[in-house]
Amino acid sequence: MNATIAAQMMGADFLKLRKKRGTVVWALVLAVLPLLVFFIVRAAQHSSNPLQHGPAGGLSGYIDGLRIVALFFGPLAAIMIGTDAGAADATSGVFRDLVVTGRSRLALFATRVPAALGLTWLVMAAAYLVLLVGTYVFASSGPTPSTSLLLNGVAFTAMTTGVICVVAVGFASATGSRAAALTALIGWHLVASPIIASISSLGSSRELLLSEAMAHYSPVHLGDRSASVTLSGGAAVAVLLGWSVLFLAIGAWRTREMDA
Amino acid sequence: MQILGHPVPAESAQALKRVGAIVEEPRFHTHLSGRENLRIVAAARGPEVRERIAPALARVGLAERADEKVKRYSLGMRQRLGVARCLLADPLLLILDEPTNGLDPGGIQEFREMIRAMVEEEGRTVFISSHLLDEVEKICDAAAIVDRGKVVTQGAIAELASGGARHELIVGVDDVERALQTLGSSELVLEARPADEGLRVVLAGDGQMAAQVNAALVAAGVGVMRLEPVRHSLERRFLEITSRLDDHSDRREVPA
Repeated sequence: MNATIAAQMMGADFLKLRKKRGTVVWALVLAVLPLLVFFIVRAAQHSSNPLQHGPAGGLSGYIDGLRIVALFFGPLAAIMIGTDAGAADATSGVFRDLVVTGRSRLALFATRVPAALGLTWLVMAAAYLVLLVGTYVFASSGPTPSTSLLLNGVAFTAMTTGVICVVAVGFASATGSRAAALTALIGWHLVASPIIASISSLGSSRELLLSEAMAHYSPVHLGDRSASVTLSGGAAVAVLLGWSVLFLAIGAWRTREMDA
Repeated sequence: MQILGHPVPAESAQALKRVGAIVEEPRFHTHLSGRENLRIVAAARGPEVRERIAPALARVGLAERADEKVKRYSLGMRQRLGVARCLLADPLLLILDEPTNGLDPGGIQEFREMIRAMVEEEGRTVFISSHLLDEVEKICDAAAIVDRGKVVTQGAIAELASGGARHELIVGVDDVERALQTLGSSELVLEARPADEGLRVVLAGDGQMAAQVNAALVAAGVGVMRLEPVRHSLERRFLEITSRLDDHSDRREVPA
């Protein structure tokens, strides 16, 4: 497969995703709405009692907002988009028609990943823009984040949502069912993963959690994580790569083997 | 096994480049338009294929509605869009599985004309798998009957339907007894028997003998009101071949 065909196929996969209005709208809502609510509520609290409640924006607003975007709702948007990208051909029944083009199944799988990442990062760019606007509009006279922190925040958000999106594409390709993949991944991300991370008796085995590896690279303090594990930089990279490669491999294998 | 000169599965990719196929009902991304669905497949087929999208849509009569979402398409339009998707491969071989399923009579007629035009005007080979033998008879030039996974017979439709054998007539007469006596002693006829329509006559030769049978009957003083060659249907022939005229309980797969 040459670069032209690869680019065309990625464009086609991106077209499938961006035209799915429900997915795009919900991903945007998940990524942006919590931030808007966060800033509006904090601004209301600050205006009603400035002594007890600091400004909604500024450095502290940015730190809290980044947590919302990069670790909670951004990943949910990434899961929505990734699962759609992974399962769309199978659930619509179009996979068979793509197979009979003679194009390799691995190529059909591989082009889903950049398409999903592209849409995920577009949505996250919109969310990050809202975060920046809120940070500076509601900063009052308080300190604002440095440029390096802002850039690290961009990279951190791109990393967390990117890795989760890749895992979602692979997992949904493997299951062939968007609903199943969506439910399982959201359940894992929102419920199972935090519970497992909080069980200190599990010891260092918790280092294998994706959420712990992602948290390692957070440019901001993530609050009280006394029960959580501390990974080395190398271990965090290994866990992030491990999850990504594992789910990509599973998705690719299933795409290659599934009945068309 | 080879397709278009390429062994499969060893050279599947090469073989499938000039093959278009619709297996069962064509499926699409219903949130995309017809044109966008073709773009998806064109992207996988190669850069040059994109130029075939507009002609393919025009060929199946969907040019004006190509930018509507597929979820608003009727079943007939989806079938045509499926054929347009096949045409992107500029196929030498087009494989259609039950292509007229679910279409209304108008849609079936349109589809039939489109398939015939692809064969006669564009020189493509169209392979249809169908249980609707009447439709096969109308669309196809040749057929193979598959029973229990094996090809039991194949050939031109007319030959298949007639069984390649006997020419029969339905003869309406005013005196059945005398007609039977006359034909019973005639070398023109292999067999004559009474039937609901009058007589059922099996000719000793080809259909040209019908005139001689008529003359013999008239010469014998028998009034002939009707003389009609028996039209053999593919369906009846299929049932004869697969011994299913008396076997309604044993359902088998019957692609033709």
